[in-house]
Amino acid sequence: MLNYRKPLKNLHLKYLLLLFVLFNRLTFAQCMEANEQCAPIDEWEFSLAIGTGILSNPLHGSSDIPLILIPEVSYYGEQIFFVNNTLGYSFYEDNIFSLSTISLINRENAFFNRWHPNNVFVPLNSNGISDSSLNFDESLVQDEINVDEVANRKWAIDAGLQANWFLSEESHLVIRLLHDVNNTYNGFNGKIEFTYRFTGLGIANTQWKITTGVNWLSRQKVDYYYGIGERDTKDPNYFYLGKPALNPYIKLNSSYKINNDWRLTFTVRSEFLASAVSDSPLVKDEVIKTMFLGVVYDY
Amino acid sequence: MTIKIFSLVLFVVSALVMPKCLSSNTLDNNVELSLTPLACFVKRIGDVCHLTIKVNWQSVAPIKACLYQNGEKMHCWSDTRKATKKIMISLSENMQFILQGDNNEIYAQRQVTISASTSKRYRRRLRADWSLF
Repeated sequence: MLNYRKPLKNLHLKYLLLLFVLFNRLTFAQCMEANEQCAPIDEWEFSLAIGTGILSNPLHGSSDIPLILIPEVSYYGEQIFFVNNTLGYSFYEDNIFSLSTISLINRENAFFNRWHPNNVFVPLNSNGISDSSLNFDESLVQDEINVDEVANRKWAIDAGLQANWFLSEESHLVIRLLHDVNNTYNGFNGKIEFTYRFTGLGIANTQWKITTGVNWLSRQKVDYYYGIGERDTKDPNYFYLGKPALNPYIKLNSSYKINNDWRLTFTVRSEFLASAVSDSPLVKDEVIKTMFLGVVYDY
Repeated sequence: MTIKIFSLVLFVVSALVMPKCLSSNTLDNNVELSLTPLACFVKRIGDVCHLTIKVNWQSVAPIKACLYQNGEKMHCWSDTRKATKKIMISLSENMQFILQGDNNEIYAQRQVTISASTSKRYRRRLRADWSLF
């Protein structure tokens, strides 16, 4: 029997070694002032974005979430940090690498529960028109089920590890592995995300950021949020068993500095749902879209 | 007996005086070294400070000596009893300047310290956007 595992393992080791050498050869300037990459220690930072935007909700019978006010808050201590809804503790940090434990509110329940903490800062749809009323005919199809017809999903708090590689002044890699800590879906989730920052494109005072990554959802997580079982309906025709999912995403953000306090920002993001999620009778869209255009005031 | 007591007193006095001699800028051959200024102020810790220091030294006997900054030779004098020299230096941390002889004998040393006018420190942002977006 051919042993193909050993060469494969050696190949992986070579790549790992190459990456290790590459990362160690990188030199990165120390943080000497507050800017896009560096935060002052022991200071709170606040900003508020006001504008117009939308976060699409991929579930049947749900409304897209309008984005009007988006506050940002951050605090960096020597090792502890708090950024928006993420609390972390960095137990290793140098100029190019940081390893932290983090805890944050899981996103998934935002699509099920309008009073999720993630939605507190954005107003609800004022006209109250939901997709369920617009897609009445579609709801007659038996392989679709509306979000308000299924059992309530709980919000989850995730905790785990996050590794940040500051590959250069322009590029940044994040790897994250989390598990819920409040006995909600009893599973893992993770992500790998790469961000590249650049300026210009013919417009002065403008910074661009392109981010691409992939979200990984364990079977338990997909099953808890997007699976359909006896807790939701007695009709077995709707039953759906979750599977592990990889959702790739891409995001573009541009920021035009108006003056020291104000900047104009534009963000567009698309997350492509894996069939393990989009095949659920709960899910109507294959892409979650986010768009926002507004001005940001930095306090 | 008197000689023994005298020796003991001499030993005690020597022991008391010795540390003072070691901490002084005069280490050997009665060489006195002074640097002006002895401190440099930068905006933040880590910034490089460029300044001109005035080196002044004098010795009881003529000596052959070189001034070293962090092991790097800055300037040398030969068979001189006293000297004054202005030297351009750059430093980003406290730096020891040593006046050293040919045979690695240290005549005198002084430290130029660096101080920051702001104590603010910074660290990498870890990019935790709202998990909503």
